[in-house]
Formats: sequence, C-alpha cells, structure tokens
Amino acid sequence: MKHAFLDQYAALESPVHRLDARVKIIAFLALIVISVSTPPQAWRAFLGYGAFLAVMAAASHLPIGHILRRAWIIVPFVLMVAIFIPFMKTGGGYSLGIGSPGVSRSGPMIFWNVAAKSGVAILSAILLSSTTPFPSLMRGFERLKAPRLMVMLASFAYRYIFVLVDEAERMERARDSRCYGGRWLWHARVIGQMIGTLFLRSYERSERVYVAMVSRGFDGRIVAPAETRMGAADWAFAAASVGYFVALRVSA
Amino acid sequence: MTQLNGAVVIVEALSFTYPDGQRALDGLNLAIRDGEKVGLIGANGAGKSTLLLHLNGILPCSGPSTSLRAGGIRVLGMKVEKANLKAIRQSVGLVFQNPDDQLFCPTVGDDVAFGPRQLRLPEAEVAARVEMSLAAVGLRDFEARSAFHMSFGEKKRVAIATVLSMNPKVLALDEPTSNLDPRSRKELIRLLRQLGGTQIIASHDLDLVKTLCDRAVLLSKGKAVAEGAPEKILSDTALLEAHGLE
Repeated sequence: MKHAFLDQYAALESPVHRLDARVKIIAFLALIVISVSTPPQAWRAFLGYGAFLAVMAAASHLPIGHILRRAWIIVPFVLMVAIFIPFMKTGGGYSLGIGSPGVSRSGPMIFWNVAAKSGVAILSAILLSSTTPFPSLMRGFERLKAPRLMVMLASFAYRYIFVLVDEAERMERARDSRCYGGRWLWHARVIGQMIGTLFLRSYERSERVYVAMVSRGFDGRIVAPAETRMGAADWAFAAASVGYFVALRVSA
Repeated sequence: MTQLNGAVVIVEALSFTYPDGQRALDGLNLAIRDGEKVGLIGANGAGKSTLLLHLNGILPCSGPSTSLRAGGIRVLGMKVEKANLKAIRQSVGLVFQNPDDQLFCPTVGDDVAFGPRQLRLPEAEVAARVEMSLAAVGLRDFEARSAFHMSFGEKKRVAIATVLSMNPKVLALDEPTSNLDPRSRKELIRLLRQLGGTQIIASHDLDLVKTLCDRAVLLSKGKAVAEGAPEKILSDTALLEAHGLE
C-alpha cells in the first residue's frame, strides 16, 4: 500500500537540504524560542523572522502549495484558540461578550501575538521536517543529546506507523467485505472490537520486534554510530541565523 | 546421536512448554553438522519456530519460562545459557518469518548496522560489514532506503543481510519463502544456496527443502519423528500424511 511520506520532499536537492540536521534543528529551535519571547508590539522583529522563513522556503525549492497545505492542518487549531482571545480580559478571566459585545482593546494585540508566534513555529516545523529526511532528523536530535528514549520512540513510531495503518485498513476491508451495516450501536461495538484487536496485534508485534532486537545483541541500549563532523558551511549558517534572530530580538 | 564430532548445533532431549501449557517441544534430539543445510519440516504447531527461538537462547533465557525447559542445547560447543548468550547470538543468525518485525530501524543501512554496532565494532568495520552484507543479498545502494517502501522480497533479503552483518556461523531461517511470489522465491532459494554455510531452515515449503537441503528433519508434536535425505522423506507420502504435511 502507498502512503504519503511524512518527509515527502526531504530528498530534494537544495542548499537547505544539504545543511546538517543539527544546524537546522538549532536554527529553527532558536527562532521559535526567540520569537516566543519577543513582545508582540515589536512588529519589525516579526517581519525579520518572516523574512528568514521566506528566504528559507525559497531556497529549499519546496512547492509553496505543500507548505501551505501542511500549515493549513494546524491553522484551524490556532484560530480556534485565537478567536476566543479578544474576549479575554488582560488580567485573565473571561467575558463572553453577552450584554456588552465590545472587544477589549488589548484583544487584537493578543490575537496578533498568538497568530504571529504560532505561525513562526508552524512554518519552522514544516521547513525543518520537509528539508530533512526523518532518519537524519532523529540522528540530529540524538547528537544534540535529546533524551535517547524519546528519540527511539519517535524512530519506532516513524517505522511502524504505516505498518499499523495498513493493518487497520486490512481489518476495515475484511469488515466491509462481510457486509458491514446495521444500527449505530452495532457499529460502535464492531469499531471498539477492531480497536481492541489492533491494540493486541500491535502489542504482539512489539514483542516480536523486541525478540528480533535481542537476537541481534540488543541489551537495553542502542549503540549509536560515531558522529560526523559539521562542515564550515554548517557552522556559518548556525552562527549567522542565530545571530540574526538575537539581533532582531535585542533591537525590539 | 551418531555424529557428535563436527556438529555445530546439538540439541539433547529438549522439552519446552509455553506458559499457557502448550507443549511445543517434547524430548527433541538433533545434531547439525558444520556446513550442512537442514530442513525442518512439520505442520503448524510442530515446534519448528520454537526450536529456532531456542537456538540463540531467546526462549528459555528470558523471564519465567526458564523453568519450563528440560534438556539442553550446545552451539559451537557452548551451552546455551546466560553467560554465553552474547557469543551465541553472534554465531546464530535468526531470520524471522515476517521481515517487518525484523527491520525496525528507519533505514536499511541502520538495520544492517544494528548488530555490528551492538557488538561495539569500530564504525569503519561496521560500514564494511554493511556493504558486504547488502552486496551478498544483491541489494547494494539500498542503505538509505526505508524498509517500509520496499517489496516483500526485498525486505526478506534485507532481513537476511541484517544477520549476515554479524558474521554468523549458523543461519536459522523461519519460513524464508512464505508470502513470496514465484520469482522472488526462486531468487531467495538461489541466494541461500550462494550463501552456503550451515543453515537451518524451518518451512512447510517442501519443494524448498527438496531443492536446497542436504537433510530433512520431520517434526511432529515437538519430536523429531523422521530424518534423512530430503528425497526419501518427502517421497514417503504415508509418513507426510500421518504428520499433517500432505
């Protein structure tokens, strides 16, 4: 079965793709943290962050439609949160606007704050994940000393998510081929049983995977390959981008 | 037990009961000589896979099942017990039936390198072994690919490469041809023949055993009920029928 890759465009050839995964992680993480700490009035700083993201997007040769589609998935959640913000008073506390539907003056500013910062974060995440193959991304996090267990979990999730989806699809097909129909309550029951079965199968698979690991010498610790060194271009990019963010932040 | 000399694997009166009470092996005796290709045949539940899991100490050495075992196994003169596990797992390469269980790393290269890295080999040696193993299964240049996006036959080959990289003395394969289309199956049989060395192949693909193996061992209810030249065993229809293979 064919699924969309999580890192569909990660194999493209571009200056951004060629950068070491660690450098990209550092740069985008720095951008997210610094932009979150920037006061919302400093619109020039946000303009600068946006310019950086635009340059990266252009240099990465990613189709703009892909970036927008990815971003669209998260936008509704941000809007949901943001929509209620104008009704919040600055001190906290809600006024749902019944009776006096006026929006507090700080409302639009809060909305802008949330929208701009989450926008920066979303675009950073999209650019990072679309320009770095998932295995390199995981290795990058590992080398940056992210907790091993979490990196391992993410790697296994990446490896097995599609196996799981396939399994679910096969079960669905088996169900449909046996005349799935009838009342709603019946549906709920069947779906519940399918979820249970899927869980059990995954659990059993995890045991088989574990056995396969043990038989190849796994002793509770996965030995990572030796590190490769970052090139001059990688260092230069890391220094330049982080320096740029800090400059914007400080001048704000 | 005639040829104990030169035997790489010796199974003596091995019995094993699963925690749910299912008796999988019942006083099994078996000796496998160096360089021999042995086909373990038998119906579902005859104990083939259970035996394979014993060969590198997965079953009796993990957890509470230790008490459920009687008899013993020796691999290359080493008793299969906790102290020898590391060496034994290195010398017995177990290839599981479902490659999706065996290939758990993000890329093929990582998967093939997993074993050597666990052995703490230097990275240059790891890289050399990865290249050698992938070349041996005819999948050069597959290093950066993800197992999920490969055909079943390719996954099977990679699964074999992941144990070849540990330089095993014995290859133990569980149903190597299951789920393969005729061409992939033929290629896999050719590959196994090329690889040589001692191979233990559990399968109910009788034709595979006939074309590849030097000896067939028929398992039934956890016992070896017959063994001999594959042509002889496999032409004995009465015997096969009595044990659920015909």
